[in-house]
Amino acid sequence: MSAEPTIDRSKLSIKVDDKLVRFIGIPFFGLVIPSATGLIDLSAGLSLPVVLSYLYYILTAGIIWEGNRFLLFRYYHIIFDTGSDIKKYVLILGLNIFYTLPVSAILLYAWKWVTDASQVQPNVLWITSVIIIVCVIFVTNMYEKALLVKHSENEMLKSAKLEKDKVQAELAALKNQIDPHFMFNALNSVSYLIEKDTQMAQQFVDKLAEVYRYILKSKEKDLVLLADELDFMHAYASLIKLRFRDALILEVDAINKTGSQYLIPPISIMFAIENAVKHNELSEKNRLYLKVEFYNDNLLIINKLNLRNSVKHSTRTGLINLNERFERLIGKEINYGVEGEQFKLVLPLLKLHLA
Amino acid sequence: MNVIIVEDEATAIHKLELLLGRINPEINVIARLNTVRDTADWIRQHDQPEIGFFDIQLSDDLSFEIFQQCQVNFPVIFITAYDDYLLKAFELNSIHYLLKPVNEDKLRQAIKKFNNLKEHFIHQRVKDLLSGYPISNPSKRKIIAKKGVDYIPVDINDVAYFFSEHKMSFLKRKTGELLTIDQTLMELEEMLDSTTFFRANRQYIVHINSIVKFRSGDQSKLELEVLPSTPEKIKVAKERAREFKEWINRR
Repeated sequence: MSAEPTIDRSKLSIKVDDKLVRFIGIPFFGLVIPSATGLIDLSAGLSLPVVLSYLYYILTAGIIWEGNRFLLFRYYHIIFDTGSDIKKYVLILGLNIFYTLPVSAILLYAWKWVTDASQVQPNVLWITSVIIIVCVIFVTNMYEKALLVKHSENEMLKSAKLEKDKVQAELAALKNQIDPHFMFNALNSVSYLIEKDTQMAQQFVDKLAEVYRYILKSKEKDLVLLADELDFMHAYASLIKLRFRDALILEVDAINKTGSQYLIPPISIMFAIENAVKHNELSEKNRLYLKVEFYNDNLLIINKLNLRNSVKHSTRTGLINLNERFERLIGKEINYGVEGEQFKLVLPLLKLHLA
Repeated sequence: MNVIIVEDEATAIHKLELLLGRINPEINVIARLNTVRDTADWIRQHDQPEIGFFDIQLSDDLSFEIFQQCQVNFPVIFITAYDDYLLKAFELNSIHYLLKPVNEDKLRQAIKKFNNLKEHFIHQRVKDLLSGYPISNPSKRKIIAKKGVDYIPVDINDVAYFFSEHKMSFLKRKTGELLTIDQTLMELEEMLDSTTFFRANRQYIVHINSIVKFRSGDQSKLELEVLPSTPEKIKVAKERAREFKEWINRR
């Protein structure tokens, strides 16, 4: 039940430190643009109306700057996820003009109307608007460069985090699946065997060490040779045979030749056996027949059904986890189901074409 | 036969003594030592035993330290619980080891081996291992492969070729046996002697002796036939064909 790794966008949101730039930039444009275009007539000196005009234009510059900044940051994800540079610039430019042109035109006309400045020609207003747009494009370009740097930093963070999440989820899944059950059951058997049959206890411990060592090593690996996994399966099965006094009958068919031509996720056959043992009765009267055979790039694990009463309502979490591993590592799903008196598990294998 | 046991756990000492007695009643444990310090002192003051059994993790230090403190002129079998990195180093240096829990059969085999070979080069090998330079003699080069739960040291000249598939690396022995290895082909390429091995393409590195024949195929590519044979002939790109011919002519 590994959790799907997720990315919290808000935690990775874009932050650009632009306080100083805005503090200088907004008054700068508010003063320079109207002076340069002749929107404000300085020939009469610095009278009160002139000062008021400047303040108004600084306010206008502020509204345009902040508005564009807001839009750029708000739609940043869409803009940067387009993939193509041309689309990106068209989007940015469109956003600029769409906002800047009407806003600056309205604000400029409004001031002309309020102050009744008859000396200002209408074409001066249009020229000013165009200059504002040019300035906005210049400033936006600056922002875009800064955002681009932040964006790639974020992407790197994101992929690093994804990778880490993935590895942790997998490790957790694998650990939860195998260790506690397996080890405690085994220890339980040892403690019984010590009293009952010391020689068997000895054998059991040796095999247990071998099996546990393989499990530990497998954690570093995604896939192993089928032959190696089958070796391990035999070691594991002998543990079960010691525990249940030959109540397990394991039959392995025609696999030796193909063993070194296929890969399989480690511990998966052991899991299948463990699963069969968990769900079915295992006694000298009711033996568990387990057959492992190779068929058509798949490994079939078939056991005769003799369900324990305690597990009639299985959650199948184990099989779901196993399926998740196969999907990710082999690229195919596992199959399982009851066919008549049998439970059949189909594990897809990965073929080695070069072996 | 006089032996010493260097081990800090009482139960482990008892177990080893029990097994040794069962294997050969003539084995005589003349000293049981718990620490690096005591062991080094003992070795300096006594005649050398015939075999030493050294646990690696002692209470004061790793038992390798004994080799730094005094001259060890008798064969040693190391005993360890679980240490992936060390086991590889042991295999590379031909240092014998046993895994815990110690198994009677494996212990018997190890003692038999020593009786047959009477190896006494342990000191140099441990020094090599400690210096982090595991291969003292290039002609004895080995590579560690894995088979099931075991490590197998494979002589480099027993390798027919290496290949990679599904992001895993494999070693094909001349005997036809297929084993997995940890190194990538790129790492192998750097490690291997370039006069005996050739990187044929992205998937194969071949040993010069495993090439049976080669001929020009489509579009000036070379096609190599090797033994044990591969499902398809190994292709060498046009750009590398000349390099291949020069390489194979040099030998």
